[in-house]
Amino acid sequence: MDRRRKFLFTGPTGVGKTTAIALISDDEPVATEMAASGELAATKTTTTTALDFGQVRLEDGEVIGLYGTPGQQRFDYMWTLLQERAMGLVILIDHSRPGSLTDLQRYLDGFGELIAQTGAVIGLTRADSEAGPAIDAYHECVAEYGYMLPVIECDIRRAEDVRLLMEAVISMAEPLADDQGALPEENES
Amino acid sequence: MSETTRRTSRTLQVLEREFDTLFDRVPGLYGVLFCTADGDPIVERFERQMDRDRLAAMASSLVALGGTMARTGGQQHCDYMIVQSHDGFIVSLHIGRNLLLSALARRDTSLGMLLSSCRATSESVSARMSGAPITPRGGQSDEQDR
Amino acid sequence: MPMKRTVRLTNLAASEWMQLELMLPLLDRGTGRSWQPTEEAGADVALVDLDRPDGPEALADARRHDGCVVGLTAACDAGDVHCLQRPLRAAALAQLLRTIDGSGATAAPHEPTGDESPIPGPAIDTMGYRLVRWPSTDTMRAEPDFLRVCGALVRRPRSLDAVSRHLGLDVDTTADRLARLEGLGSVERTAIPAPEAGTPGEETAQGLMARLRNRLGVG
Repeated sequence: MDRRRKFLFTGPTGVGKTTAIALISDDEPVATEMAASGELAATKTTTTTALDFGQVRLEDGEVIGLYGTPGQQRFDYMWTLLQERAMGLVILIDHSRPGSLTDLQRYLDGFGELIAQTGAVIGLTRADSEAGPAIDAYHECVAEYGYMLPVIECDIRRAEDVRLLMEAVISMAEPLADDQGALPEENES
Repeated sequence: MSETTRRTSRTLQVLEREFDTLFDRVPGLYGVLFCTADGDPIVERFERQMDRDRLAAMASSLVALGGTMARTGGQQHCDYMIVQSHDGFIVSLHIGRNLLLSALARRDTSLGMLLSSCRATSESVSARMSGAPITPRGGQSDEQDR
Repeated sequence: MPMKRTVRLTNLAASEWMQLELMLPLLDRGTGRSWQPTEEAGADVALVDLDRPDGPEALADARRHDGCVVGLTAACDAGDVHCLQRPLRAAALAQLLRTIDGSGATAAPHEPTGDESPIPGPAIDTMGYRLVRWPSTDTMRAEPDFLRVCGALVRRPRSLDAVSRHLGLDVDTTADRLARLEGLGSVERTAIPAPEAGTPGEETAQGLMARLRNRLGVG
């Protein structure tokens, strides 16, 4: 039985999930890119439609998986599949994108079960954009769901920033690891 | 009507004609779906009610994963993704780089016939539509149509 | 208006000192008195850590200067002074102070009578901290410990000792981080139930996260 633990990255298309995983993965990540269409094709040529997968090997040989989800909601069945046994979730939100709060709500809804169990970290990219709402608006949005989650402004192209997100998500997972047995277990079905 | 719209409409007519051919060739076929490579449905013909949006997205995930799995296994290209269930088959494959074809058939369908017919349709569509722009029905991005 | 009584905290360790400072004012309703922590001699009650090397010296000093002496110890007996047994529990402290107060603050050994009624008021066993909001990104960048402290509190309030053990930080450092987070409005003090002995939630952080943290070079 695969007991592998994993962390999950989600967020809208083009926000930098694949980039974030590539920055901290030990191996070149597995990507499932397909040609982008419609308006998306104007900003990027390909997009993830199944998953991104990277891994971090610990000194004792244990491997921690890093999974990225497809961004678009039509792939929400992948969200459901990928969040099994996840120890934590990073939600990347493009602050400069119109409707960034709606984006956040989409992932708070889509990953509600996991967030209730492990919490999540909100990574805010392009946070210096004046187009987006005040940072407090993200805190308020999260609070409306009954959560208290860190909102971290980051440049996802910088490994240092991705590590800060990981530090936050690990900090939230630590109490779970302390509460023995509270870590999400593999679904036996 | 703009040039782009006229060409897109013509594209849809081409795809509809391909449906006719495919249904004629494959007994037991009960659904065909064309979608963009990234999972937006373009046009479909189903003999029963089905969720075209989810089928299109899942076809995209499966073909993407199939290609990745083939490369990881040292193979060059994933020709088909085949789902064989108790009740029948679902086959998904690329049409060029930007389109996918999915065909749904009953259990009594010959899998060989299904695969070869889908391949023929894929090649025909590729040949007839090379260069034509394909946009999802409604032409909107995923984030907006939800 | 409640009568003010003072409790002198003598040679206590920083963590217990802080716990008692926080705990004492909350005992008002339970004792019918206002118990104020103080460092000055001449208090109504003095608390002496008998388990520390300087215990005898602090005990002698308290006997000279304070009204009543309570010995804090892991043992079951504190000799000829009142005994408050470790681990510190607010309910036990409240009961002891009530007994002392009712007896006229004489320095007599505390002998449980068995007929003492339960302390009315809040069922507070210890003091702790709860997360109010996460700090800003700049603050978290500057102080990586803050992330870990907030992470420790995100699911439930914890005592200073519990946070310290959880993070593997010494108590003084943890107290400093908590105080600064309190100053930033990120955490606030709260009463929490005392954990049962051996509660998994109060064990040190599991190795997996520590190893992952090391591997990624964070924290």
